[in-house]
Amino acid sequence: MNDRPVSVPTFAPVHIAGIATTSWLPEQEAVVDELVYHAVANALQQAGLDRHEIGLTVTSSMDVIDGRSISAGLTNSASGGYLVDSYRLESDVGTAIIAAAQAIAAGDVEVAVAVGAYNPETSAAGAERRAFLEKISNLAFDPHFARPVGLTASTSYGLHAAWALERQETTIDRLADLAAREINTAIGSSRSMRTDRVTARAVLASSPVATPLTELMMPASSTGAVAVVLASMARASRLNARGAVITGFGHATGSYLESTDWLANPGASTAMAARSAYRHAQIHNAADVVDLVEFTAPAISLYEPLLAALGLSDEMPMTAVNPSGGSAGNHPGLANGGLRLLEVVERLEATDASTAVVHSVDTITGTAVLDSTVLVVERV
Amino acid sequence: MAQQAFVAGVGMTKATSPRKQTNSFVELCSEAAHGALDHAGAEPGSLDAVIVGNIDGFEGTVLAGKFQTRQLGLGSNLPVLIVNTGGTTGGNLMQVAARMVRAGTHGRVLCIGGPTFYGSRDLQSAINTNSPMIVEQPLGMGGFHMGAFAASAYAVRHGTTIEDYAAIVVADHDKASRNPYAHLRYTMTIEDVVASPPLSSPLTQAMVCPVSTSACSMLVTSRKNAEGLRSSPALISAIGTSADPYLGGGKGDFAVMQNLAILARRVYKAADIRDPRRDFDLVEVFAPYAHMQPMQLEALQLCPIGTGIDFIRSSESRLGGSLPVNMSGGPKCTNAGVAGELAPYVYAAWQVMGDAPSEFRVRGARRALAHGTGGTFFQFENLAVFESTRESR
Repeated sequence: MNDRPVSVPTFAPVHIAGIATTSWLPEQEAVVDELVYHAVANALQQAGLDRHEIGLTVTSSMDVIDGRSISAGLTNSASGGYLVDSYRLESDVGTAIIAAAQAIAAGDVEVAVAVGAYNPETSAAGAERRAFLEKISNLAFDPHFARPVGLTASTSYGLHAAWALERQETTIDRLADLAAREINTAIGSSRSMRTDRVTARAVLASSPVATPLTELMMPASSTGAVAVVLASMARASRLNARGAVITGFGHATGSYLESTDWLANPGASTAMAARSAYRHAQIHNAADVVDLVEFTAPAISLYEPLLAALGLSDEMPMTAVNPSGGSAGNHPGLANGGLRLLEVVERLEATDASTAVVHSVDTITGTAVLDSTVLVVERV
Repeated sequence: MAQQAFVAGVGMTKATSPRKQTNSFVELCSEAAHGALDHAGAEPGSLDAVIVGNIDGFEGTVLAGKFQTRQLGLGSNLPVLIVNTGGTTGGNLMQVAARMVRAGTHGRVLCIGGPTFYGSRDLQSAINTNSPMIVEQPLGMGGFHMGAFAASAYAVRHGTTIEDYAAIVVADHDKASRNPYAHLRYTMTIEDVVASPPLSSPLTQAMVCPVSTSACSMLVTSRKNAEGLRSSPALISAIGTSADPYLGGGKGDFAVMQNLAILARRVYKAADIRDPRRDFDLVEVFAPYAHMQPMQLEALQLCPIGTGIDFIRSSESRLGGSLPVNMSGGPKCTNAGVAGELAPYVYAAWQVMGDAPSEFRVRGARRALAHGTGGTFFQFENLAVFESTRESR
């Protein structure tokens, strides 16, 4: 815990008025607009707000995952976007949270909703389901060069991991230890998709995904939706708002294959997003002031590079770094950024921590054009 | 801190059909993006975000926004936001960019509308996949079928004839014939329009937008970041979007654009527009089908209900008239997907900046309205008001 005063940011901070999720399941019975409605209705109820008070909704989803063109048409009213400002972004919900916060900071609206929905339109399970998602990922690469050689999110993670091992930046045992630690932390959470303790040996023995990565080194995938209701500080003063405000945010998108960042420096976009977020929150040395971080390692080999890109290190207390177990416990695709924020808000409300960092990345193209979002969240 | 947002530069490529297009997606977007930067006199290195649109299923590939944007060489790690709201994607690019600037967190944001329809072989089949799956999808409903609901309802309500709808097309083609960036630059007669192949009653092929390819771009900046640039920026004085429910039945009345009328009142209030017919110097509406234009002009309070076609026929809506409408020829003559949707915003801002091509420039324009629409049964609407800043520079 630090005694730094709440920062005076370069934009007006926004209050987290409500945040709610659906249940997280391997596959939902409900269709995507039902998930959106459920999450938004619960988040509004939590804040004590009626949908007529919404000024803007920003939805995060992807047509190719929802299995229809312009799926925003289906989900928009469920998000609360009927007859109000609304639009949809195709990336992790972290980008939608930032867009909603910007609308409030701009003075355009008093209440904005960001919602992320992830429920791939397939009934396949297990390896067949993974192959379906890998196919979608492959389609997100250019059709002339990367797609034909089979680049996907998983293969990019595997190539990066192999590169890091070759360069002796880590060891396979270190990766296995980290993965086991994250999973064993996660199993204490009711939101965890993994429930059994594992050893490093079990991690190494689990099914191969993309050499040298194995199944237990990858996120625990789930489906569902998350909604975040944001309000201006003035409006929040008359709401049942949560005990946290967003004082800084940053977003950056990594380079494609024209540079070697995707292999040698996958944290580049996270570092840039973090710099923006810290600048807004007037944080000069994150390691000195951040009490808590929920960040996203879409493969365990990215754990240390991305934590370092945030200006943080594994030397922080274990209870301060991914106390939920991070994506090793639950990674609900495009809704991930909202789940990470929820984990932080709950801990800011329940502990002495006062300044937290929330980090998320999209996983559609792996380490290539990695979309990174960083939020600075402070207890109030 | 919160601040105003401006359009400091626009860029556009000439349009043609996908079959005749010789430039790639990236080449077209690059030409438009650098055109906007050149118009403003800004360097790519000064950008701090790029907003692009994807409409998967309508394009030659999927999920292409991120890697294609990187191929433009505008800067590594620059944030890229991908918007997808169907036919309002293009206009929403600027809505998102304006909010980023207005929040005070970004200074120069580039919007790029790409040539969405560069690879689609059957666009109506693609559009069909966003329609409700119980009735409309099995019926094979596409975009112009959805549009025809309103065309029929409006005709029943006001006694509109097919020749009336044809007159709108004739006016659009006349305007597009003067726009060097338009796709269909030939003129038509009412007889030509009526005699063109029927698509979905009462719409004939000539009443429905072409499938075009082109790209356009817009640089949105803060006031501070517009200083020192070579253009006279256009103030974005009001923006807004509004959405109907997904199902067509949620519209209430297909003969009236209620959702647009509601949005217009909200946006006009923000821009302090009290008499829109007099307060605007020009209007660019996104009307891909003939009947949509009069309905939009009526919903926007630019003419009384049921008189939209009379207004379009009159000289008042032409160059030199009291309220020029769609001087570009509109999407009826050029519809390149996201580029076509961003185009009304580009043209409107270009006009009040005083730099629109001389062939269709509205001289002395001070305030302009831009509009977009799309989604299932055109459930989404967006609007923006631009104002000239030339007086203060």
